[in-house]
Amino acid sequence: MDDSVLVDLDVEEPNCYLFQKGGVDTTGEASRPVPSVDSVKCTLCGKCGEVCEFHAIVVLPREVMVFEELCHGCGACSLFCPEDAISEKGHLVGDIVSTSGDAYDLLYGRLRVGEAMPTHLIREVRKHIPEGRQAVVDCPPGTSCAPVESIRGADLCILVTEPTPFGFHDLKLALGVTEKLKVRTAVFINKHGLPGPDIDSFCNDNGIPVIGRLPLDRDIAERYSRGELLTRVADHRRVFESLRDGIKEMLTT
Amino acid sequence: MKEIVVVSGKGGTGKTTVLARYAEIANSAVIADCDVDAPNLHMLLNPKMLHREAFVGSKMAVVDPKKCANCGKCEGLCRFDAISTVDDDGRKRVDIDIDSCEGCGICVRVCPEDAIDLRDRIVGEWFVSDTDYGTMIHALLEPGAENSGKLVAMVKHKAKMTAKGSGAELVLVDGPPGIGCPVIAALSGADIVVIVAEPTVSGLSDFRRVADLAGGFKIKCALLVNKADLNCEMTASLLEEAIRREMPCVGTIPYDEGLMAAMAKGADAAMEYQGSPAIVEISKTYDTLLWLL
Repeated sequence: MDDSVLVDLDVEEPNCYLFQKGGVDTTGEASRPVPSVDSVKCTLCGKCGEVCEFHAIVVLPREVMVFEELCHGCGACSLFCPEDAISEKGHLVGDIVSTSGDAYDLLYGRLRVGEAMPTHLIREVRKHIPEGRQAVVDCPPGTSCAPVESIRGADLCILVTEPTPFGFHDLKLALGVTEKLKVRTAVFINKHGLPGPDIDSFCNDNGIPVIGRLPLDRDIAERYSRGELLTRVADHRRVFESLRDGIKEMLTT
Repeated sequence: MKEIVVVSGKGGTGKTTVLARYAEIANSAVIADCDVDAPNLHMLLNPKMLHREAFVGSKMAVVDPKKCANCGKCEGLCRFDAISTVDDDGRKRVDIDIDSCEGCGICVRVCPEDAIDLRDRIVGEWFVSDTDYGTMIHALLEPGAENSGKLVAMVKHKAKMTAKGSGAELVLVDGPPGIGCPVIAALSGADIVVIVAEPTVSGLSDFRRVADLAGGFKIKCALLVNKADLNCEMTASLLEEAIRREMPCVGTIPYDEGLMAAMAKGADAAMEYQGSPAIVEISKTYDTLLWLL
């Protein structure tokens, strides 16, 4: 899509960068605040451990232990420390990468392996979306906090599904999310042609537009496996051109 | 008792299909579905629910409008942008968005009017069910809820307790996608982790990251390549990557549109589709896995 920037918010397993060549990465680190205890000022009173709802601080007889992986960065410990002994330092959660290759301008997050919470990084990557550019976002899977953080505030959410009982079941769960977030939703059917549930009828009955269909086709699977973009193959390109037109139409009405 | 966990970096790689087959062959294992935000295993195993229970996963702040003086102290300190002052027909009111609230309690502690409470938040449900192949523990997280890792840990714990109680020798765990908190919870304590990967450029990247994660916890892993003949070069790359990590490969499953069509028709068609080349190979990987254990 013209003038848009692709934003990969599946920070646990980002893949969009694999589908284009060239481009120079600009990489920045993202970190979240965690407590740093000044052992000279600290009197081991235990207040920080008491106010931490995430059990990230344990006050031992001779030291304060901080479990950075559990910390949500709420700032309660430093706020309530009576000795002003707690400041904050950065805990590295991952990288934020901007690149423009031969296919698209891309912005993505890459969660550090072992880091449990992706939402902070997702919020940080979103802050880097250039002002005035249309963002096309690749969301993480599921229905938990990470996809919610990625979908929140969007103008349109496209749910990709497939006509299998599993795809249909997950589609209904995902619709629960977009409904809750009050985000306008359309459905794209992948592997169209499988003899499964009738997604078209379901969407029709529920007033959800079906914005495109990609057939089940070994050629598509093989091209994807090699990291080829389907938009560069005339037959498949049509599907995505009509998807683009459908999106434009939905965004202007 | 041994525990086998099946994971993949991404959804849709076939891990649930693999795990359902393992459950069928094992026939008396305790089965745990740890993909708690989009569970699918129950659709293949037709569980009959025996027990269900609400899951309290976190806390949330709730404001009492009668006590609140709209001083704004809480709003300024909330790091999660969960608190805002809204206008209700000319009257100002503090609103707490429960989807953004992480339950840190800072607002509760700073409120001079004692107007905010921290309450338990029910974020999902967990179930004990009976299937033709053994007891199954599964769960469903509420859309948008936090703490799926905690719910995963709970499902695994219940599965292990069930196995201990019944003398089952095996716990089979269907893991969630990604590398974040629910995956970390699903991997912990496993005797072996099967990483299902597709031979695609993204599949290779996903495999590396989930293997790095499991490797960091020093858990024994095995590779299983699904749709292996889709791209033989990429399958070779996956195998090379596994060798480099001294990780065994338990098998390669062929691309099988017949199985996809059977799966599309539903659980019965899928589970009864025994002749499928993919199913034959999955069954072989199970024997290899037991040998590795």
